[in-house]
Amino acid sequence: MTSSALVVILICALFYLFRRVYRAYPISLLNPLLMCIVTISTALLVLDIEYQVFFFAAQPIHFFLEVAVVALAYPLYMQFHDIKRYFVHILLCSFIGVSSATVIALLLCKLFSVDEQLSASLAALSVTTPITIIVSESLGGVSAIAAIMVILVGVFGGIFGLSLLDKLHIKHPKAQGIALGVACHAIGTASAFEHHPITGAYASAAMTISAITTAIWVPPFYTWLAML
Amino acid sequence: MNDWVASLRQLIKFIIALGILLMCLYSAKLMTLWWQIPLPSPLVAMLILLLLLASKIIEPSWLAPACAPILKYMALFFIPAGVGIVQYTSLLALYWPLLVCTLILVPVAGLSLVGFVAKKGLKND
Repeated sequence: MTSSALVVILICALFYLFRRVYRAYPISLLNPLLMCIVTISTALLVLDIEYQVFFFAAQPIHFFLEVAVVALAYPLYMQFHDIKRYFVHILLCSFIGVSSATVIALLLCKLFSVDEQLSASLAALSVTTPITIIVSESLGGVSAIAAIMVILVGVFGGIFGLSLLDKLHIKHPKAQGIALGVACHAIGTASAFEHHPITGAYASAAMTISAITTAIWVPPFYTWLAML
Repeated sequence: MNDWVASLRQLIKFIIALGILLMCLYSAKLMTLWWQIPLPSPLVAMLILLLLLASKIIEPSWLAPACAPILKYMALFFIPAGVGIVQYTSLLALYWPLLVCTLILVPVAGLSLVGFVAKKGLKND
């Protein structure tokens, strides 16, 4: 219990510290989440601490991941009138984004000729972690690999997403939000919220709709693609 | 004295808001378990909360004290799961070219495709 409290305080302190660093030097690679993961992973490997021991102690923080998904209803509701007009559009975007993620991951797996278990683990990387895990498990993948990869996709999107969209001349805050929410789930959504509340609201709407789209659409779509 | 009362009031508001979120989460966990709903329970909980807000049973102002800070610091909650990467160092060593390609291509293709389509649809906005 005491060690758990200590780990939680340490993680929060580390996150706070890296946020301060990021504020002072807003370079994408100094993304606080990435820095925290790298620092703690290195510490675990160097100090030879089992991941399970760390994870058990960090459980209170992990718990809030689920609470945060529930909390997304709030911005979604606040933007409801605005988003209602674009619901079909966001649905279309989420189909395109989710399908492209599945197609690309499967093509790469064919290209590198890896086994089916690994390619099933990479089938649904653009959506929020719990959905990815469920979908990849239903397809026979390794849920832990899926979970790590989906976080890294999100980190990548959180770090480079907004600057990539700027470079592609996609500067509309709502369009940026939809792209981040569909392609980079909650971490992209977190970066969208840091950027602008409207971008964040559209990102959370797009992310939620994509999560539902993925849960329903990816299992049959992947099975069909894998047969081709 | 007034400061103290104000921060206590703030704390109570936060606890109420968090309580609503937790109630939604746990009723969703029960529902997915009972009725074997093939969707993750946090997602079902979010839909329940959305319904409660839409039917005006819950006022959005009740939720704000917990939702605002939780969403602001959402990235923090990914740290424990993200550190899970330490379990797969041998797999990373074996498949890193594939994983790196996937990591770059999936979000880049997704962001640009969706970004362009989204921009098209919002043009007359």
